[in-house]
Amino acid sequence: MFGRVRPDWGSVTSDRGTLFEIDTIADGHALPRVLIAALEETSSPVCITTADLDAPGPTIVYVNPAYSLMTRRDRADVIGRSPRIMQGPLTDRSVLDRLRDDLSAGRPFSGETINYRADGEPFHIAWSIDPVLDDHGVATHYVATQRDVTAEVVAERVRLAEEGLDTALVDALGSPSDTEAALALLLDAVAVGAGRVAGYGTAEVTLRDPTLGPLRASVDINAEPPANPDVTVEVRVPMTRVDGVTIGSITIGNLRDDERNMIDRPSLNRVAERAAAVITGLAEYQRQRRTALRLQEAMLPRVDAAPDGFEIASRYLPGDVGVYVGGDWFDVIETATAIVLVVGDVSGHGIDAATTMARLQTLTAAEIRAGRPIDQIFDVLDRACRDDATMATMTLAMISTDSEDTRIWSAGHLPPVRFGSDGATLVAVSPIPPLGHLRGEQPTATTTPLSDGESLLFFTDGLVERRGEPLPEGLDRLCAALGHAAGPLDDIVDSVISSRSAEDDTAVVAVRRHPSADEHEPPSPR
Amino acid sequence: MAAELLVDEPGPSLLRVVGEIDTHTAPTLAERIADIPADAALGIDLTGTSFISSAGLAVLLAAAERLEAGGGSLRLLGASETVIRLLELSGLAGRLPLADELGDNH
Repeated sequence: MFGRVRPDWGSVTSDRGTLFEIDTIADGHALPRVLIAALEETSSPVCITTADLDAPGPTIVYVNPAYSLMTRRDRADVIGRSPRIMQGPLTDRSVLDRLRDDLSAGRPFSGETINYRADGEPFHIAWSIDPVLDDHGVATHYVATQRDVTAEVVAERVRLAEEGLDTALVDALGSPSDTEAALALLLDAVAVGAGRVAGYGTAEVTLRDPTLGPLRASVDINAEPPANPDVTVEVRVPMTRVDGVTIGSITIGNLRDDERNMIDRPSLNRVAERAAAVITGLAEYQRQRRTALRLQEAMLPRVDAAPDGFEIASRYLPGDVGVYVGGDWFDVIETATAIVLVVGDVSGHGIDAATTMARLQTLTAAEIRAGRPIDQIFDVLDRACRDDATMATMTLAMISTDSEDTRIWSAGHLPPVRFGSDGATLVAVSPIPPLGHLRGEQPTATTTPLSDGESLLFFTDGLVERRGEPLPEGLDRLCAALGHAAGPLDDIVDSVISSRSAEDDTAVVAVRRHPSADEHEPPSPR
Repeated sequence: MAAELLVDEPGPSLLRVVGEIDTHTAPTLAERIADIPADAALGIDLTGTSFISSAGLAVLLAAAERLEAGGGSLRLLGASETVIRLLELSGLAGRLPLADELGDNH
């Protein structure tokens, strides 16, 4: 289209006159002068070689100043030599093989590998090569445009490593019932992330604090073992928390010298810092969960024996997921004339909720034993919740031991289910708002008989609530399950608890008035 | 893992909530309500909400109390039968009044 290039003419002409002044490059080949000027000015490294693929291979006939800058080589040292002078031990042979295949077949090539600057410093390069064809379609030259992508490669590896850590932390928090497994999951992710950032060798994570659980995780990054395993070096970075405490270290080992030089220390440090943060976060979270659970277990009563004529069963189950522990409670208090059952749920979870729970439970038991009227007890509990800046729901039932009379009071809590041979129904109680929000409202007693052989089951919403399902459906399901329930109360409670969704913590307490001995057989002892 | 909760403000002093108000999403709603002045006659449209957990109720209750203290008010619009039942079970029917129409909020 531009007419034949005639170097000796000093210009490129067409029908309409001179198009370009031309210049020659190292092999005497002519290029338009404006094109050379553009190549000389651009910041993109460009290298032009001959098209000899057979040994000794292509020869460099032109490089621009940007190329000199990137490779730190004078043009005089490069022109006339093979592009192989840029390669070294870390250069990916498979990429070079593909390059030769593509060019032999007349296809353009693009790829990424590691090249070396004049002083031996390796760097990541992305480059593409296009053949220049003559009038007969035969390649005369290859034009390679190149880019130093070291910063991008490093940033992408750090991004992937951090993403991996975040994902692992979410997974670890989701499986807290096995704390060692959760920490192991996280350490593996640290090793994988550090290995990804290092790019070579083996990554090993070591924790200094033995109370943190499993101490090590490691991964191999190299597909091949080091050429000489006797002569290897390592890079070690500390995992330091923001408060300056070092919790362990990451070691990249089994490295050759040149591989070590390729590792970006600031990136590795960054991953180590993030690792310290997520490991500390997980450990702290697990510590809180353990503390809340211990507090919970210490506070909840052990119901070994029920008063004559009654059967009592109770359970507390922490939620499966992390902090879902610490808000629910139950209690069984015997007085001279009644069994008092309490079940409640402090809003929120964790140590704060467990602390309020302990306070409410202690207060309730003390006030009941002191014979305080129910409305005053609710008032005391309401103030305790306001003090702790939280709210709680609670049901309190007073089951007479010398009559069928049962009275139930509720502050925003789910009603109990009554069940027996006539089926199961929710007891229609009239709740007042939750504790902490009473504003002087007094609880009203719902009076309901508990006949011989009948049971009442009190529970927190963890028993019936399922994500995405309206609460009434969960209540219906519970009633359906209890409608046909028979056998020891313990077994019935186990059965309804086994079908809960287990996300939230759950407290259950149930009481059954035994059938009168002269009418029915007593239930067989367990 | 957490359900998504969309809260937009189609009119003055009107928040429309779409999604489940549970432990994970309740803080989102709380933040949006916190932006509403305490003397506002706030309506919260729950037409797109079928599930409110105890954490969600706590947010609504706290909002009602803040608005009442500030001379404003809170009404729930478009509450489903399920939500109404939930309010009754929680003893909150009197504290979180329902309204049938958007009324002067619209």
